[in-house]
Amino acid sequence: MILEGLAFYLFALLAIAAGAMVVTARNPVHSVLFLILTFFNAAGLFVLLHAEFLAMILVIVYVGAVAVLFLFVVMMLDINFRELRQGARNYARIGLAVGLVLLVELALVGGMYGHNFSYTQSNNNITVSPTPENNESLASDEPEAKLAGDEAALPPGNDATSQGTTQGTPQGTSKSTADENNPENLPLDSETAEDEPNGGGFNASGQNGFSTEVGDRISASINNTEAIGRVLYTKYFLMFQLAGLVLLVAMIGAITLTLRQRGGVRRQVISEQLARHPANSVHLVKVTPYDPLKESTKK
Amino acid sequence: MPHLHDIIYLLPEIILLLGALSLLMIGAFMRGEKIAPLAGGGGVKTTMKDEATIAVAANRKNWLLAGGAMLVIALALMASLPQTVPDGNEILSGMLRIDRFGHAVKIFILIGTGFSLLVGWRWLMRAKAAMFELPVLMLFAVIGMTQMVAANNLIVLFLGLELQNLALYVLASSQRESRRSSEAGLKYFVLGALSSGLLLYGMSLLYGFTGALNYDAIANNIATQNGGVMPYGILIGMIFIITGIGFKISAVPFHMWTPDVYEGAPTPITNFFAVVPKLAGFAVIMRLLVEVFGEFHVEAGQILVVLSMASMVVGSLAAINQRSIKRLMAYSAISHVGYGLIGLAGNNADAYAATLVYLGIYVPMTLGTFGCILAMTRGGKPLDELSDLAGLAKYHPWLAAALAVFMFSMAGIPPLAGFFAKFYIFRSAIDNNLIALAVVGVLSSVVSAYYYCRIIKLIYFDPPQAKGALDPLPREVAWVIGLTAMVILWFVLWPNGYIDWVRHAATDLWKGSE
Repeated sequence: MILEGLAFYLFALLAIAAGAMVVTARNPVHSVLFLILTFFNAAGLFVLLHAEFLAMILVIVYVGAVAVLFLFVVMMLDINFRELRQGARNYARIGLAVGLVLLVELALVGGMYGHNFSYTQSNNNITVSPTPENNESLASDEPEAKLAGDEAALPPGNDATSQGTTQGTPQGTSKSTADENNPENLPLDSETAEDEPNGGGFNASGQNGFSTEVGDRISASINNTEAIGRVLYTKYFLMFQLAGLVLLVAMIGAITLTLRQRGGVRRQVISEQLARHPANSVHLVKVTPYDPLKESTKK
Repeated sequence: MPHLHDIIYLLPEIILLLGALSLLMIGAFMRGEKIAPLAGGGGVKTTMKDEATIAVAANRKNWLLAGGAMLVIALALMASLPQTVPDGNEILSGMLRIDRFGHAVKIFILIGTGFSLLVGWRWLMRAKAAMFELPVLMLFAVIGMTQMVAANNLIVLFLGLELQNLALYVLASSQRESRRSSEAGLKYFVLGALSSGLLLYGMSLLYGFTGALNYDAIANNIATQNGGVMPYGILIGMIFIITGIGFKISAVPFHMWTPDVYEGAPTPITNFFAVVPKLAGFAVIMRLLVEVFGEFHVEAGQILVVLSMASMVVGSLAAINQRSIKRLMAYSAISHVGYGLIGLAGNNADAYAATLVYLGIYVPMTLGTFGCILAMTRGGKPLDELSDLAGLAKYHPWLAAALAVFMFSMAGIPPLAGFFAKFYIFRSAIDNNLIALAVVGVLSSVVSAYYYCRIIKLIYFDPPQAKGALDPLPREVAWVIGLTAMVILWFVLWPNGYIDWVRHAATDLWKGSE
């Protein structure tokens, strides 16, 4: 617990300090580097919240792609940042006011968080992403709850020993541990699911695509990266593929609209270079050597 | 878990996708581009090659790729013709809904795409705008549209829509030498992004107030909530969604981009825009109205009546003064959207069937008209002015006759197909007690008859221009024009088969929602 708290304060303070440096650093390259530091600290905070997936995405997408892009832009465009900053000083008051409003709003949200967070699930039988429940259940600080969650994390099909020890049907274990979940919580293992008399697994998840059952069932048993992976490649695979196609089309479109093939450019064709043969590329030319005597006689 | 055998219902999409990817690879790695490699062993020889051989190679490659794309479309069409429907209509755990309605629209989309590629490719090659990416992008756009049409989930809908849109933006600006094409692409992109944003905002409101993404789940949720503030949020979401799709199908007042994009984009691409994305947009809005917003049919009907009236009036009035035939076609398309929306304002399967009948007839009409516009070249240069049509009948009697058939059909003159389209639409309006809408529709179709008939007057009665005849028609363009003209002329002989088929599709859509 103490370690976690210390880590939180370390990450949080570093993130705030680096964020302040992003704004105040004189050299824009330094600003971007501090931005990267901020991202890393935010990723650390996500890890503390057991949201490893978000942490990884933050590092990969923001540090790996966005910040590098920023660096390129900053280095390649010749922008006079000092002039820009002169302008910024004029708007400092408005900026401060907006910041104050945001701070108050954040405080209000923080106040609400403790009271009324669990919104009613009664009227909507459908929730979409498994992550909110996941965070909710795993981020709770009570160690008992977490232990229970870990126990539920062992699906009987995966672990031979646990199957022996738990001795009950998977229904029994999930009933005892994850009380906020549906009673018919079943592990995702399709083998065991098919053996179940009432037909567990994904197939039982009702006629609606996104039922709570899937989300909850996953949430109690595995970490969130795995949970996202499991639904991403099963339930959501169509969307996953479509998103991939959208990106492919964007790439093709960018190339189509910008690539210009100019004439007279020497292009390297490696296969042709390798296929080169002395027989048809080397020409032996009979060169008559220079003969000073002949030259002189001609004269 | 999605069952593997669900995949069989995705066969057309799989064919399209594999075809698009392999054509992309062939296009990227096949020789025969304008630029032959200079370095290396073969390089010396290719620089020696005269321009003509390189041009022939490029020609062959272009035709190979366009032909491949048409083959892929034909295969996908064959795969979707059996119209197999799964039990319960839903596949992939409710992500997609496969029904006869979706199949019918998919068939229209595939036919429209295949023919617009066939009729326009030579034009693109002559304009030096033919790139191998264009057929590939068209195929990707079709994949997006089929997903939109079949979507049973807001995320799938949005992804399909974006897939289609991204491809269309690139297609609009594909003529890179032309400044107007770039302008068209940029305009289309900015307004398309705006409308996608509106649509997405509507979707997020819908999700926020119902907690569901699947259409049937949202509908259930709406049905179980009675009273309270929830319905207002959902209602606002619906308005945003209708607005977003209104942009896509260019219904007035969301039509501003249409004339500029239609005029700026290369003509074959304009043809594609005029025919195909409209079908997909209509299918999406029909499905949403029936399956999601069934509870709000009164409110949706009010919006649709306004959209429909405005589209018909603006489309027919603004077209009168146009000089460019592409702009005229843009306004004509807007007014046709208005007529199509009449059917959606009526809230039953018959009215929807009328809209489907209209859309199905709209496809050959527009394809044929654009075939004639594509044939308007003189000395290899495309013509765009209406005055260029003057005296067409003297030089090209058959082309003139075909164009006259298309114009009469668009105006809705009785024995032609366009009359039946309008007839069913207006009858559905009267059946649903939308008398005002029917009156406005008839009046605006009288107005639009003026400019359609003006074109016929230009063709037949005006003195021909001094510049001489048009270029001879390319063979495939002549074939497409002839085929579509035949369809429109002889539709009167067997309207029942087609109308029954479409009515089945529409009733299937309505059955699914009950």
